[in-house]
Amino acid sequence: MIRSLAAASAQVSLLWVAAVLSAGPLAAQPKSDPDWPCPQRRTPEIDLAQVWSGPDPASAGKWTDDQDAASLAVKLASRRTPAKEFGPLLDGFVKEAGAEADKGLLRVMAGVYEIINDQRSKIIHGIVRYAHGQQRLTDRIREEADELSKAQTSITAPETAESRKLDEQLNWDTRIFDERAKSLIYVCETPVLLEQRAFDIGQQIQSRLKAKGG
Amino acid sequence: MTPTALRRLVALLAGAAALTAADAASAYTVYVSNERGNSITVIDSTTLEAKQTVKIGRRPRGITMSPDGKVLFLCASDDHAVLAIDPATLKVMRKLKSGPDPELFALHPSGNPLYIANEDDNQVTVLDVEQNKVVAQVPVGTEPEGMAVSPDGATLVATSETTSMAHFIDTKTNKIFANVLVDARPRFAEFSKDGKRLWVSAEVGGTVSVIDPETRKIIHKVTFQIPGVSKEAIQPVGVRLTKDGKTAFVALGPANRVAVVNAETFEVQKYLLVGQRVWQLAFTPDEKLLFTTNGNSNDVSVIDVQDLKVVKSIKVGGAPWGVVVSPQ
Repeated sequence: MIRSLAAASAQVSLLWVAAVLSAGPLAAQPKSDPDWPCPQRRTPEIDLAQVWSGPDPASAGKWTDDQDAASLAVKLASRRTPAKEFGPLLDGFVKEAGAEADKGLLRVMAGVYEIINDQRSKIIHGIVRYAHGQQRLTDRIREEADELSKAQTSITAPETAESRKLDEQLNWDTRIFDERAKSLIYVCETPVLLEQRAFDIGQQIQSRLKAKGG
Repeated sequence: MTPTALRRLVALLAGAAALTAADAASAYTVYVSNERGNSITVIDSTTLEAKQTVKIGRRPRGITMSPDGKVLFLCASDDHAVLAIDPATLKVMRKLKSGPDPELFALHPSGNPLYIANEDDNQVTVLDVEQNKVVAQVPVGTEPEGMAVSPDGATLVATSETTSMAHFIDTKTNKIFANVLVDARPRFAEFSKDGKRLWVSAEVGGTVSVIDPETRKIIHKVTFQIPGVSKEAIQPVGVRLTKDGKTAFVALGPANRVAVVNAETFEVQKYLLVGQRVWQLAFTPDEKLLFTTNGNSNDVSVIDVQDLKVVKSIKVGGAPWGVVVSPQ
């Protein structure tokens, strides 16, 4: 009974994942990319113009050469900094920078963009690895369920050491698969959250520029 | 107070009252459906402030209003129902049959019936909203979404995302009489007010096809290029045309911009940076303002149509999807 339950549970899990993958609230792309398990469209990078319509930040020189701008960029990009602090932090920076504020702000933007995009690319790669891992696990669960049904010739057949071992393995893999599938929703949200952050900071910086552009 | 002073005061008050009445005439109410917030946000078009956000239905998406402004219709996708809501109290008056997973719909110009796209089972449900009765179910291509009724009410257009077609349906017979192949993943259809043009956006194709509904030929395909934004991020969804047919506004999804298109020459005049993942659009009836729903930044942008400027961002509920403005 336990064995058939485990096999059934494996089936349900696969169905559940299929349902999650096809019915995400923001599903907006053909669901055929085996490397991409998220309902959100896969976009490898945030384009600067997606989060910014001001003057070209590169025009203000290298952001890494400006200590103040660089440390503010790191702080703003860090997920430990809550969004409500963006405004006060930027206002403080503008006050300090005085006449050079616009250039400084452009360097901050360049830094924020680079840091967030870099974090985001790492996460995207992570999600792809995760998708591969789940795919391998799916294959294994299928094989295990097959082996178990071979080892157990009928429902009333007595449990053997081999069938018990197979049963445990199947239960275990199914559980891992389930746990991972459940966290998928949150994992998939991470790139979106980073985009939101980049956009929010971009808008706040732009609103503080004296010379508007774009 | 002297009688003269009193008369002056009365005159002044009357003047003030008249002013308020004039203001009220151009004050519209904007309703936004929040897909993840499971709510509707109500915005005042004069103050541009969110007045309230009310929990309503599960996974609300398509939203529209009866021509008299007395009923607000909402696709509650996960409830598999269309909700008929009192716009004044935001209470659900009736739960209407919609077929499974309703996403977007279009109301006949007369106010009845309602044509509902059922994304999951590849059909369009024709619903008599008075009697809450399904009049017909029209099989269409895979994943129907965009819906539009011609201004004369004779033709319904449904776009199917996977089949990449605009299906032309006769509203008398409820049968498809023509199909037009457009670019990948058509999401939205919009007729010009004179009924002579049909604009269909293609989210993955990145284009908007302008179709002559008479001959059902594509007259032009509008394309978009934004410096610094990759082609993949340009995903046209919502389209709105001004009443004079001269200007089109196209929401470009994760490009975070609305394109302003000259609807006669098909040239893009301007790209306006709004919020993130902009999908749907709605004008005020006087066409002074255009509201955009930005699903990832959880806000609504307000565009001044005359100046072509974004004048405000208003925070709403989680993942705003659809938007409609009251006719009065």
